[in-house]
Amino acid sequence: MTESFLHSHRFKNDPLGKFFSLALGAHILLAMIAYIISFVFNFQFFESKNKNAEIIQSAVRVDVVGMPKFTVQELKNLDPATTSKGQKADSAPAKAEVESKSDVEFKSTEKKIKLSSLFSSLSNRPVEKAKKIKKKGSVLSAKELNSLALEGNKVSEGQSLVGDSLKGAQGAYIEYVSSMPSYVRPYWKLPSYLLNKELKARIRVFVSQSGRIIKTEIYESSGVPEFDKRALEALKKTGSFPAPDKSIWTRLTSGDVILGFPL
Amino acid sequence: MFKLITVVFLIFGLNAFSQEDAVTIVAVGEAEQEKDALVFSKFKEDAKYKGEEGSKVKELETLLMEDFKFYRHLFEVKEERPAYTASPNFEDDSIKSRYLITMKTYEQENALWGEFKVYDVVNKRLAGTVNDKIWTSNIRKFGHSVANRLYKSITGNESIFNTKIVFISDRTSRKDDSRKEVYIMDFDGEKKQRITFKNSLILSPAISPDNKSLLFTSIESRWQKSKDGRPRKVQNLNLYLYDLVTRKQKVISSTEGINSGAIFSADGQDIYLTLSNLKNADIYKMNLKTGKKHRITTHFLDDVDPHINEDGSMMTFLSGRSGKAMIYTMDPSKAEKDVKRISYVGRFNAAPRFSPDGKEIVFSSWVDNRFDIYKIDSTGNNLVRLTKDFGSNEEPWFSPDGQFIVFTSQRVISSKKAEQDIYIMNRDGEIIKKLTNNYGKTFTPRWSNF
Repeated sequence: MTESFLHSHRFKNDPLGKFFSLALGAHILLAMIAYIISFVFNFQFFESKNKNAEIIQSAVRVDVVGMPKFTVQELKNLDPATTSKGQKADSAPAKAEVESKSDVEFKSTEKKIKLSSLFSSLSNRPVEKAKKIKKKGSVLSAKELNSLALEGNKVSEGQSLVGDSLKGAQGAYIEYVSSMPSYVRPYWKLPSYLLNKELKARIRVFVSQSGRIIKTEIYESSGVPEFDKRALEALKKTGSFPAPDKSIWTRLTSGDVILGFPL
Repeated sequence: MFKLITVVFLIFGLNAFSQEDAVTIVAVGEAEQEKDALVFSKFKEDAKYKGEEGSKVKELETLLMEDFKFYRHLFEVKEERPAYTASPNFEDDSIKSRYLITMKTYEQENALWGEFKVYDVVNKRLAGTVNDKIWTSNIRKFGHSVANRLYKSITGNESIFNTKIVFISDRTSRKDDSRKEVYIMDFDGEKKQRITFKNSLILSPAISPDNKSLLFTSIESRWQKSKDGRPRKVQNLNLYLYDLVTRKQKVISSTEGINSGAIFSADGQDIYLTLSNLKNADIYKMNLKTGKKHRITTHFLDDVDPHINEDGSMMTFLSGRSGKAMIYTMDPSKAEKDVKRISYVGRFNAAPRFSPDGKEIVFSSWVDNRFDIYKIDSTGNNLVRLTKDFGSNEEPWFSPDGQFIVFTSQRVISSKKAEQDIYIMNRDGEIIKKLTNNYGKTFTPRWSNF
């Protein structure tokens, strides 16, 4: 009798139960420890806010088959507008080639429609390209990136790394956004005292249907106001990108694109 | 209790919400350095000049501007100059630069003084002042020293303005008597001076970390008994240590064959050199006090041309172990420790040299029937070309601040005549200045330390 009384009394004082609250406390403690460890040792227990963010860097495949032909000076003096045009001109016949090849394949198997629909469904899936280029923990150093930006030893621009998945709206979108840095880069300049400081700012851009930059906002600040200002200035000076394809208007106008300075 | 749960849910919940953001992050890449505009004011001359003082001040004025133009990748030195002012108005349109340097001369205790002030215009502050008695007897040295102090107050780093370059020239050669001697000049090619008077062929000079001694190899003849018992004259490459202060020299290594390509260790206590007394060339470490030698490379094919990074933890050298002359790095603390091949291309690579921070290696490579200069990371990545269509370019060497590279460039004029001069380029391959002209054929420039 007294026992049950005590029991009910305890219940009254402690509605969740002693053991339950203890267990909950222990779990919270564990979660907090894990959270702290993930901070200290940079473990990825809790994925950061970039989980759904797809990261695109201009990929340059370098096959070292001989000494480089162009000097650093020559590469620097390449006009970014003409090179990007050149790349586009180059990439068009390459695409045609891929398509004609697949035509031959389809004819022989006579499964053209099925396969192409399969591919188009594939193309709607998030592109794996970004994963290929950027792996966790293997962030390119500023220097490596610099040399990439210089486009030294360039053999081919890696936009067709995943081939068929670049078809359709997703392909057009990837192609469009990967061409964006080449328009911003000529205006992306820093004074000596802000260089090599390993700073990083990310700016969200809203692009109009005509390609004009309508709005920019800081998505991730570098912590140094002048650095952020310089990144915003580079975009202001860029003014506009080429007019995007109708199929990707919504993604561009809704600010899906974030430009990383430098990453 | 419920409050605690709510707080915990809030903390982790916020994270969950931000994950729903589906965005594309596009890397723009590393920024280019923006050049800082720099303007010198006109000289305010408050002193009455005696003798040559007037012309010396003019020389000083030109020298300061010329010095800063070497760093043209950092500064744009403006030609239009505002008048001197003791308290500059930073909003003034005539300044419109990142930095302003004001200059004036005045008389104090019967001597000529100079006052130089550098202002950070953007942050509206005085960045540094140089106030010194002007050494009219050595105006160039004074000017470089002022320029260095001004540069330092802007960037916080030492400049190349007080440095010198040691090189070899054959200008004392006679018709059938080829001679090569060591010379020294200021970083800008001025004030050339002969150092050695050996009347022999001198190769590969190297300056000690304290800039006080010099190593070089001299090709000399000696008598040796041949197989038939008769004495025969043979040539040997002997290594000398030269004291730049007392001007005394001594042979420190004269084993049979090559004693060459010597460089100082990071602390100046040891040297690394190539010896060929065991028939194939190998790299040795030698203590300057005891003279003891340790073999560092032991491969049966040739290893030559060592160069050490600033803290002495890594050595780069040229080796034929792959069948071609390729660049390697290793830890020089033990024989054959952590040998790593760096270059995989090029028909013949030569003279690998570290940048002062040890992160890059600059070297020359034989392409299209001539040498050109290339740069590669010490890890073997990022191979870039620096020179092209500029004659045959060899013997690169970094400046002590890592911003410039000095090298030789050869132009063939006829089948019998070729010119070879020393040039400076910045680290991106932009040619800055020709340092020698009609000074014989010049070889192996080596930049002094700070």
